[in-house]
Amino acid sequence: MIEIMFDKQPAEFQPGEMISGIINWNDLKKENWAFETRLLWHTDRRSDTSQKWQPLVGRQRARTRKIIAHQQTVATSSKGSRPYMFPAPIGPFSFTGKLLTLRWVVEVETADETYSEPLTLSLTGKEILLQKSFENGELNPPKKELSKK
Amino acid sequence: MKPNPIDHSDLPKADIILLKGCSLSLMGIFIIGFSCLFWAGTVSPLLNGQSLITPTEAIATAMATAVAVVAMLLIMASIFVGIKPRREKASLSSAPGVKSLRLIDAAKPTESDTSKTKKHWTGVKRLASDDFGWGLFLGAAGVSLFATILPVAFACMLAHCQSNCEFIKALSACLALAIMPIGCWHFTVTTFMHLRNPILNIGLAENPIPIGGKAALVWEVDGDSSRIKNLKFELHGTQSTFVYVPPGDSSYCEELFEIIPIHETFKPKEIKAGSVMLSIPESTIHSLKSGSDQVIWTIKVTGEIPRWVDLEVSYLIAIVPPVLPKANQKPRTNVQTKNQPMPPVKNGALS
Repeated sequence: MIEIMFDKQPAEFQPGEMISGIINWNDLKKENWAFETRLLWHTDRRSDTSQKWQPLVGRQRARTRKIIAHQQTVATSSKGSRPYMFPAPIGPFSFTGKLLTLRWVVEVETADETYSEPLTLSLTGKEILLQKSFENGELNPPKKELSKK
Repeated sequence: MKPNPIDHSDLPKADIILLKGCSLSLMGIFIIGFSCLFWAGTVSPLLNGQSLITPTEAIATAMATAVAVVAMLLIMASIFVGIKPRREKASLSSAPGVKSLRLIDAAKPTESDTSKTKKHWTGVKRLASDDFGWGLFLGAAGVSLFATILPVAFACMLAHCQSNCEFIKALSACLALAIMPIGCWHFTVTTFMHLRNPILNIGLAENPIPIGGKAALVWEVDGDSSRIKNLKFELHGTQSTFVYVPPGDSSYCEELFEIIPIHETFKPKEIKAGSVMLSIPESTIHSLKSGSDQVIWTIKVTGEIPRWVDLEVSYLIAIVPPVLPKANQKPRTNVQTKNQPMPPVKNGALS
């Protein structure tokens, strides 16, 4: 089990700020001791059949995914912790719109599992809402994502 | 004008030449094939006295063929005139960690602008309008001609109907098909009227513009600007992507998410030429192009022209994240950007 924590709560960052925190692991299988911590952003698209945001899978999602920075770690025991630190780039900013969203995450990938923790990056630190899409309040984008592959 | 889902502007020049070459070849095959069929089926039997049709009918067929050929030529000409590598992309390669972020820099500056005599045009980069112009008109005219042939052909059939049943069938087909060319010709005429509008030249002092930044927007109308009643400038933000449609298809979708008023004037002198400061709000999103996912910003200009088609032009601009002062860029520790060698990890608890 791996837990990603941010030094700053809530995880709202501005360009140039340092994105830092700790990776905690517990009962980690030996084959997963070598893992990679990444800072990345990805876009998500909306399915036109759903009135609300829902995660799409496989070919439906077809999202863009860009790894900006990464660091590798090799643990020596099944339990431990490791700090990480990435400088926040100047963009792109986190946003949510009717058709598109762009999210930043810190992700840890082991041999057979992936964990991620979302963060936001913008001039204010808050996610930018493409306002007109929310006139009817029909969208309810997920604020937090913790996925396990 | 809305961006075209099939964005030819991203095509490199070689591909555009290939595309034009293919259309030209297809056109040649079509014309030769049509001419051979017409000769073998109509002219040759007529000359040999074996024809089942009268000379009048042969002339009508010839005219229809000529119209079809002209229509194809117009459509082909629209491809030649319309497809241009207008958009250029710029990447933030100098920005740390965002090498993959690609921004649209469609506003193609032309050097000729600095040669303008107007003082406020000095140092200003001219924006290229996202307009098809003559290409769209020629294409529309070609399609309209094609659409006209069909109901005319059915109308000719009316004269040769042997029974009431055949007559009713031909009449209904004629009426049904008559709707299509009416719409096509309306579009063609409207497009032509657009071409006769005064031409608006727009320039930006800075392009791309950073979020929270300002840039002088200058304009000048070529032609009879007194026809324009008012001129309205707006900044439009649009998101677009391919949306999944079950069970396995996708369709291109775009949505206007923001309209920021810039300026509106009713003064004839200011309509002819003027300038205004364009401010980009800090709370907004920058331009983005990542595959088919796009956020684009355009300056939309509308002008009311009494008893004529209104002026409506869009100019693509690029809005970028603000560049950080160097003091804010802290040194990296133990972090690698993609495609760089990894330094060894040093930590007491780690190997």
